[in-house]
Amino acid sequence: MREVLHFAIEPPAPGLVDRVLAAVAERPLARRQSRTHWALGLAATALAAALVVTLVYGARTARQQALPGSHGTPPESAAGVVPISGTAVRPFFTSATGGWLAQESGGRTTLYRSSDGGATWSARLTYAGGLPSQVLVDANGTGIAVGGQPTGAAADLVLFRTQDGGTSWKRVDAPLTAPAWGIPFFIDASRGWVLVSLGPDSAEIVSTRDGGATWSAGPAFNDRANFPGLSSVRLRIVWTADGHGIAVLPAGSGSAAVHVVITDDGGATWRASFPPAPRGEVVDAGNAMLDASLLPDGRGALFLQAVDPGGSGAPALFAYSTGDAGRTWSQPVRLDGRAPVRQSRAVFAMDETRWWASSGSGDDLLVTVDGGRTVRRHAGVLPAGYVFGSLGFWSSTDGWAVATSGGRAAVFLTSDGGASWRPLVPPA
Amino acid sequence: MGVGSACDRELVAAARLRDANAFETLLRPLIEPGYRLAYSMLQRREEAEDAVQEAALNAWRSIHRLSEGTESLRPWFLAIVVNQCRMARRSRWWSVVRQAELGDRLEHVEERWVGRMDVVRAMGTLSPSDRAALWLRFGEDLAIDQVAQVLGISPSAAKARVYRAAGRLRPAMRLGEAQS
Repeated sequence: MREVLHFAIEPPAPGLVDRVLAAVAERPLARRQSRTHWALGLAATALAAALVVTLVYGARTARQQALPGSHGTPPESAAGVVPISGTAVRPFFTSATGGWLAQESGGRTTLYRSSDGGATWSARLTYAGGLPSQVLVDANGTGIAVGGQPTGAAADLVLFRTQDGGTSWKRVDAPLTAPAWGIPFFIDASRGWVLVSLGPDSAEIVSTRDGGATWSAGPAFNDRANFPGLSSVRLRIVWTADGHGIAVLPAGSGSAAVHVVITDDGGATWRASFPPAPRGEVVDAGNAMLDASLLPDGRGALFLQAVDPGGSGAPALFAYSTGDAGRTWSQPVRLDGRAPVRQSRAVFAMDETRWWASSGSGDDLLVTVDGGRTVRRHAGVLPAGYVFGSLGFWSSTDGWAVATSGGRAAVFLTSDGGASWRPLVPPA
Repeated sequence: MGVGSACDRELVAAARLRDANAFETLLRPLIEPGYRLAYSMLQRREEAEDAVQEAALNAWRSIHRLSEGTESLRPWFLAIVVNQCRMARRSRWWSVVRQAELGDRLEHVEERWVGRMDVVRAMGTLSPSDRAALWLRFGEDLAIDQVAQVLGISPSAAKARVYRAAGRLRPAMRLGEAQS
C-alpha cells in the first residue's frame, strides 16, 4: 500500500525545502527592514541637520581662510558603481519610480520591487530557475512574471501570477503535462501564448486571456520543416493581439539563409519569412544572431548580426522594421559597421522606429528615433571598463542598461535617451 | 528517543519565542511530508508546493500560539497544511484541460508506468479528505489518533475514513499489481 501510494505522489520541483525556508526567512527580514528604515530615517534627518550646520560653518570658515589646496579629495569611487551580488540581473522598469529587478544566484532567482526609483528594494518572489523574460503588472494590480527555466531541468512552465500589484505571487499551474514547454510571451498582464511540445513530432499553442488562470488549447501542428526539433521548444515566439506571431529560431537552426518563422492564424500554420539580405553580406544560418520585438498592433523590429566570412569575420549590425508582424520587412538599415567580434549586441526596439544598440566595441551606444535614417552615437557613456550587456527603455528618454566589467554586472539608468547613465544601487 | 524529544521540546519553546533558527530546524524535515500530504489532496504539484509554502508562512505567523509544552511540530504543521489545501481547493483556478487527450499523452510519455495508472486514477476518484486520511495513515505511517488530530476529526471518524478509502482503492491496486 505504501509503495503504491508513494507512486501516486509526483515529486516536488528540486529545491522545494530551500524555497520554502527562504520564503519564511524573508518575512521577519521584511519586518526588520521596516524597523531599520524607520531608524535610518531618524539617522538621516540627524545627519542632514548636521550637514547643513557643517556646510554653513565650513563655507564661512572657507571664506575667512581661503587657503590654497583646501578643496578636499573626491570619493574613491566617483562613479558610485555597485556591482550586483548575484550572477545575472535583469531590470523591468515601468516608470522613473516604479520597477522590478530580478537577480539570479546559484540557480535561483529573486524578484525585487522598488517604488522609489531603485533607492530601496523589497524581495517579492523567489523561485528555482533563471531570470524572467517578462514582468508585467497592470494598473489594476494583476500581473505575470515569466520565469526562466531551470538549467538542466525539464523545460517546465515557470509562470507566476499576482493580483495585488506584485506583493504576493502564485505559481501558475501548467494546464497539461507535456515533455517540454517553450517560453511564454504575454502582450499584457492577461493575454499570453506558449508553445508546448507533445513529443518529437508534434506541438501545440496554448493561450490564456486571464493571466494563466485558464488556458485554451490552440491549434496543434506538426511542422518539422520550420521547427526542427519539436521535442525541444525552448524558443521565443512574439505575438500580436490578433494572433500573428514571429518565432525567432536559435542560431544554427536548419541550413537555409537567415529567416524567421511567422504565423497569421494563431499558430495553426507557419511559414518562413526572409528579410532582405544586406548588400554584400552573407547571412547564413550558422553565423547570424536575430532578435525580434513586436508590439500588439504588429509594429516591430528585427535585429541581425551578420558576418562576412570573406572579410574579416567581424560582425555588422543591421535592423529591419515591420508594420505587419513580419509579413513584410523594410530594407536593412546598417546601425554599426564592422568592429571587434563580440558574442552579441545589446539591442532594444521600442517600436518600428526607435531603437537602441550597443556598438561593436560594446561601450558606445547607437540611437535612432527615425527607423535608422539618422543614427546617433553616444561615445564613452559608461564608466571605464564597462560594456553594455542588455538594454531596455520605457520611454524615448528613460531606460536601463546592464553593463559588465571583468565578469561583474551593474545596472545603470538614463533619463536623456542614453546620452548619460547613472549607476543604480541593486538589492544587497 | 527521550533525548530527541527533549531537544524538540526545547526547540519548540525557542520557536514559540520567535527564534527563527529553531523554527527552521523544526520545519525543515516537515516540508517534504507536508508537500506529499498537500499533493495527496490537491493532486497538482504546483498547487501542493504553494500550499506547503503558505502553510509554512502561516505556521511562522502563528507559532507563538502553539501550546506550551508541545513536544512536536509535526501534527500541528500537517494540520495547517490540510487547512491550506482546503482553502486552495475552494479558490482553485479553473483550467482548460482536455482530459481525454491528457490521459492519452500521459500514457504515451510514461509507458513504463501504464500498469499503475489505474491506481492514480482511482486515487483521483476519492475525496481530498479521504486521500489525506489514506496518505497520513499508510504513506506517513501515522497512528489513527494522529491522523484524527491532523484532520481535525474524531479518531473513530478518522478510522472509518481510512478504511473506506482503502476499500475503494483496493480493486485498482490489485489491477495495477497484476499489470506491473
